[in-house]
Amino acid sequence: MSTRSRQASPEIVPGSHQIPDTLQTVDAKEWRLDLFRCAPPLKRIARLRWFQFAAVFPNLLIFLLFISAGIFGTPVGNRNIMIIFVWILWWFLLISAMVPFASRIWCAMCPFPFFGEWFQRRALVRVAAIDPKKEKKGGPGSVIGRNRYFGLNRRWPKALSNIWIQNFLFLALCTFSALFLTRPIVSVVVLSSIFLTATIFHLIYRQRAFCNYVCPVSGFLSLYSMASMLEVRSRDREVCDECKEKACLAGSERAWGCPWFMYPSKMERNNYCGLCMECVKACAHDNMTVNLRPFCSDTRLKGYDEAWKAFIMLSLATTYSIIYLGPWGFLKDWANIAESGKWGGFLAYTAVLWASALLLVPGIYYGAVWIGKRLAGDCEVSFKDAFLGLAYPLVPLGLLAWIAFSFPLMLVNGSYILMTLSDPFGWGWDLLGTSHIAWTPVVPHWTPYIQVLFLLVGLYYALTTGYAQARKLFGSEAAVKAFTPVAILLTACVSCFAWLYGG
Amino acid sequence: MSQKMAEIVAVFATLIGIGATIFLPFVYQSRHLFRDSDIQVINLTGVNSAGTWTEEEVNGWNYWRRDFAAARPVLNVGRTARFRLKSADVIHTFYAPALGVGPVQVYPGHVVEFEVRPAQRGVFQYYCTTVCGMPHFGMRGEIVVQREGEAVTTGSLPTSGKYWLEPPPPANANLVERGQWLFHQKGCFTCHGPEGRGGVSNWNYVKGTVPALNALAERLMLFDREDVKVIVEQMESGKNLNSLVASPPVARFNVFLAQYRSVRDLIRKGSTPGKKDPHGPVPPLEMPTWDQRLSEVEIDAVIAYLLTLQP
Amino acid sequence: MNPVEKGGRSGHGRLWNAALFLAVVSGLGTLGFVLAPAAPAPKERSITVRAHRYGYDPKIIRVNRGDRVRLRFVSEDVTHGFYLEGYDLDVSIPPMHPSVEWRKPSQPGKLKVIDEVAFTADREGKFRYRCSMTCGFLHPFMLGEFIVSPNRLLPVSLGLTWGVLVGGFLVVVLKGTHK
Repeated sequence: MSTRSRQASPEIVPGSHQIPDTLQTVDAKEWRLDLFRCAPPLKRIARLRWFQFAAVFPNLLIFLLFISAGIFGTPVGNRNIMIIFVWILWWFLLISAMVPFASRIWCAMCPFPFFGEWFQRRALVRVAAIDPKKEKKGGPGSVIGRNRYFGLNRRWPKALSNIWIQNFLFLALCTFSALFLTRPIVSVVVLSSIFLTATIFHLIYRQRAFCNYVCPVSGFLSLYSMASMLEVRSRDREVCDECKEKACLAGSERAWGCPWFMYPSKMERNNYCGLCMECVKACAHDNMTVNLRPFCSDTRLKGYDEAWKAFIMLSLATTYSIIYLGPWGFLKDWANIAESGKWGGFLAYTAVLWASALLLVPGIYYGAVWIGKRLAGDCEVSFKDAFLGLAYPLVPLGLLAWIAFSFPLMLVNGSYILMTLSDPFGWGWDLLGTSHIAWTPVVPHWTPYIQVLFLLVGLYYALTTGYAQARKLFGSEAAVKAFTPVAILLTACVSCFAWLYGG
Repeated sequence: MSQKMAEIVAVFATLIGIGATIFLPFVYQSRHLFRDSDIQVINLTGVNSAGTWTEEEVNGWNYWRRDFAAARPVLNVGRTARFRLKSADVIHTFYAPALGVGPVQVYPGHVVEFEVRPAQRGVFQYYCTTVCGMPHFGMRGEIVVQREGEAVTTGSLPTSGKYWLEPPPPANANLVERGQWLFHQKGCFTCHGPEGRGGVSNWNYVKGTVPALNALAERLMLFDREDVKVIVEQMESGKNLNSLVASPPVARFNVFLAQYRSVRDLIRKGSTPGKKDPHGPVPPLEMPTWDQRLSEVEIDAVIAYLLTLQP
Repeated sequence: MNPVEKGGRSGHGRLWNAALFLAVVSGLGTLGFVLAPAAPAPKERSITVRAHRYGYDPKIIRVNRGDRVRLRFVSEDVTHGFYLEGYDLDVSIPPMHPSVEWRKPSQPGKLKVIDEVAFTADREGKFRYRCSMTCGFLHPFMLGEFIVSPNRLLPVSLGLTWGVLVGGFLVVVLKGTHK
C-alpha cells in the first residue's frame, strides 16, 4: 500500500513524519462500521459548511467566560468555573470519552485556532476557492491548492515536522501542573498563552501548523487517538486512485484542503487528523466517511518522537498518581512551589520527572526490547522498527492509566461542577439553585476497584497489541520470545499502579 | 449566496457573542448586588495571608498583591446595610457581637449575606473567630455607625496582621528574650495588650476585658524581684521545676509550683471565657489551645517573659 | 501476511482460548484472595491525626478489621476536614480549639461537637481520608490512606494482573502445540 502518500503533493505538504517503509501498515481486515451509511443525518451534518463553526463557536464563548472568571472571579480554585470546568470536567471528558471513542473530535471544536484560522481563511463558514483553469496565481493572499489563504503562509521547517516540540512543551507545562490546576489566574495565563501563540502561528505558518507541531495538548491527542474507536477514512481506495481533482488534499469550491497537511484519501492513522470534516465536504465522489472501529486499530508508531510521547505520558501518569492521589504531603509541597517555596524539593521533583520521562523509562524499555530481540535471534528486523513496534502497547496502557488517574478526580470533585454551574465566578450567584449543595464524593470507596479494572483493560490491550506487533516483526515463531521481556515489563508497570492505587 | 448569508450571520454571531460573554456577567452581577436601591451593600472578603477583612475586591488577578487594607465600614443609623461576606482562601468566621452580628462561618468561594439595621451610633468591633493562619489574631477592625450626613468619626486604625513578619530572635537570645519574641510573634499581645498590659475589651465577658498578664509574678507568689530572677534562672538552665521540691529555691515554692502548673495548663488547653449575661452572645475572644503550637520550652519562655513584667 | 489469523481460527477455538484465559486470570485472582493474610484479633487504637496544608500525619493509618478506632484531631494551621471514605464520617477540625465538629454525610444538617471520634473498622479494604474544608490551593489533593486489613484488593489485583500475562502466554503457547 502507499506509505509515501503524504509526499504526493509536496506543494501542500510542508513536511512529513519520517516513515519507515519496512512495516506493512494495514492489519487484517477488522470490522468497520460506516457511520455515514448507518446514520445519514450524521453525514448531512458533517457536510454542512457551518459544521465546524457551530462546533467551535460555543466553545469559544465558554473559553472567554472561563478567562473572565479566572481574572475577575474568586481566587478559590474549587469555586471558580475556570478550574472546575477545565481541569475536572473537560479533562475528564477529553481523556475518558472523547479520545477513546471519538478520536481527536476535540480538535474540531477547539477554540484556540479560531481567530488564527479566521484570519488565514478570511472566512468562518464559506470557502475562498479559485478556478484553477482561469486564475493560477495573483489576487490577494496566496493560493495553496485551490484555496486562497491570507497571512505569511510559510512552510513549517522540515526539521521540526515531528512532535518533539509538543513533547517538550507538554512536559514543561506539566511540571507546573500543581500551579495551574489550583489557581485560576495561572490557568488563565497558560490557556491564553496557548491561545495567543496559536493565533500568531496561524499568521506566520500555513494552516494548522501550530496544532500539528506545537500545541502541547495536541501531542497526546495524536498519540492516544490511535487507540480510538472513530476514524475518518476513504471508503474505496480505487475511487481515490482514479480521482483527478484530489479535492480532499487541494481543496475545492466546496471545502478547504486538509488543514492538517494530510492526504485524507490515503490516511491510515488517526494521529494527525483533526476531524474537521473538510475532506468529507470536499470529496466529489462521496468517498470519505467516518467509521466506527475496534479499539486500538492504528498500531504503528512512525518515529521516536511518537514513542517518546508515550514514555512521557506514562511517566506523567505515574508522577501525578503519586503526587495527587498519594498521601505524601511533602511531594505536594515540592510540586506546589509558588506557595511552599521549597526550591530544592521542586528541583528534585522536576529532575526526577524529566529524567524518568526522557531517559529512565525509555532506557528500561530499550533494555527490554533489546533482550527480546536477542531472544528472538532475528537479525533482519532493524532495532528501530522493533523498538517502535514494541513501544505501541504503551498507547492503550498509557491511555487507560490516564483514565484510571482521572476517574477518581471526577468522582470526588464532580459536585463542584454543579456548584460552579450555578455560580461560575464565585460571586454569590445561584442560577440553577445548586450553588450551595454540599461537597459530595460519589462512591469514593469504589475508586481503587474501578482504577484496577481500567488498568487490567489497559494491560489486556497492551499485551494483545504488543504480541500482534511482535508477530508482524518477528513472525509467529519468534514472537513470544521477542515480546516476553516487554510483556513482563508492562505487567510489572501495571502492578506498580495497582500497588499505588490499591496497596 | 446562502454561503455568503451564513458568513455574515457567523461574523455577527461571533462579535455579539464575544461582547455578551464578556459583559453580561458584570451586568448581571451589578443588578444582583444593587437590586434594592435603598440598601447599602458592604462587601467584605476575608484574606488569610494578610489577616484582614477587606472591602476591596479580591479576585484571581489581584489576590497575589497580598496587601489588602482592613475594612472600616461606615453604616448609617436606621438604614439597612446588606453585608456580603466572602473568603478568598480558607474558612473565616465573622463576628461583631456588639452589633448583634454573627458569628457566621464563611466558606471559601461562598457568599454569606445578611442585613443589619443599626439603631444607635457607635464604633463596633468585628473579629475573625476561627483561627485562619498566624495573621488571624490581628484580623479585626471596626464598624462605624453614624447619623446620615454626619462627618466620619476618626477612630483607632484597625489592626492588620502584619506583626508576624518580625525577624526571629538572635540564636543566642536568652529565655526571656525568646519569650518576648514569642509573645509578639504568636499574636498574644493582640488580646492581652502590649507587654501584657491588658485592657482589650471582650464583649459580654464576665471580666469585661481580656486579663492583663503583667502581674503574673504576684499571682505566682513571687513578690520579690529576686525570686523571679532565681526562678527564671532555674527555667533557663533547663531544669524541671518539679525536681526542686526537695530543695525549694524560693519561699512557698509548693504554692508557686501549683500556680505555675495551672498557668501552663491554661496555655496548653486554652479556656472559654465566661459570659456576663448568660443569654447574651458568646464573647468573641477566647484563649486558644497552644499545646500543638508551642513546645514545652517555648511555653516556659513565655512564662519567664511574663514573670519579668511589672504592672 | 495476514498476521492475526483471526479468520482461520474456528469459533470453537476462540471460545476455548477465552475460557482458558479467563480461567487463568480468575484463578490467580482467587489465589491472591486466599493468600491475603488474615486479620489478627481486634483491639483498641487511639490515634491523633494532625492535619496541615496539604497532608495528614499519620499519612497512612493501618488497622485491622474489627478494631475499635479512636481518633483525635489537631490542625496545625487552618480549618481542615477529615472525610473518611466508606465510613460515613466527616469531621471539621478548627485549629487551636479542643473540640471538633462531627457529622455523617448521609445525614446532612446534623452536627455534633465532640473531642474524639470513635468507630469500629468493620469494612476492610483501602479507603482514603480527604480534607473536606477548603483549606488552600491544593485542598482537593489533601488526603491520607486508611487501610483496613485484610486489604484483599492488592493481592487480588496483582493476581489478576499477572493472570492476564500468564493466561495470554498460555493461550499463545498452547495454540502452537495444538497445531
